[in-house]
Amino acid sequence: MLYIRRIVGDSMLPGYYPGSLIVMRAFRRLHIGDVVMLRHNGTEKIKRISGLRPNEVFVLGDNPGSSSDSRDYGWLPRSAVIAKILFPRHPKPK
Amino acid sequence: MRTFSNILGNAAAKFVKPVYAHCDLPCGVYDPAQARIEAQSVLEIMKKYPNLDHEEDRWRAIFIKEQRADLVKQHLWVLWTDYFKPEHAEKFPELHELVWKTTKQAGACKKTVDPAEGQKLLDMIDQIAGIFAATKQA
Repeated sequence: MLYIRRIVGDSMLPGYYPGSLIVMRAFRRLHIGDVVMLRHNGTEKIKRISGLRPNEVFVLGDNPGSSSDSRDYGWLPRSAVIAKILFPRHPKPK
Repeated sequence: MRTFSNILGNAAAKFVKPVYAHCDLPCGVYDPAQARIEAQSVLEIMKKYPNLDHEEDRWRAIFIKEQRADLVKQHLWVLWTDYFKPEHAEKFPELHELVWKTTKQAGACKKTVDPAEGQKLLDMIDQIAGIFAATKQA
């Protein structure tokens, strides 16, 4: 299944700009570094996986100064992840 | 690539669901007392100003008064944009104009050392505080 979404906000800069389109797909496996769409507090959010446990993920924004992420809400159930990025793919900023 | 997806994004903004990449963690702590304390400083500086003998002190007083008046604006804007909700404005229809006029009064206090203007600012903040308190009780 494919998902097309428009990014709102700047927590994934410098790779993912507000207003840009992304294509995401359903996934089988998750890896650290994957950019994912997840559902949290009733909202779909885009973040990057920073930690993995058997049934949980820890996600961070690429732009930590402007991101609410697992630093605030902690580990999330893996079931919160809806899809992972297909296009475009930007590496984690150094 | 970014340009391409941005162009597409702009074109399709109305049709494509958003995915959020923003900071959504307001602390939730709001209080008009912050604005009031700064406004009190403005008023007290206005009262002291005529009795300052040295030019350096007068210059500092003006500088600090302008800083504090600016902070009044800042605190009121945070209340206005982050705390007050549409239902508050519906219940208190004077809210928008009151906040607007109060921030303008804070601007006016930058241009004068007349304590009457400082007191007017305090009184207006107290009106906003009254609405704020009423929303807390609701």
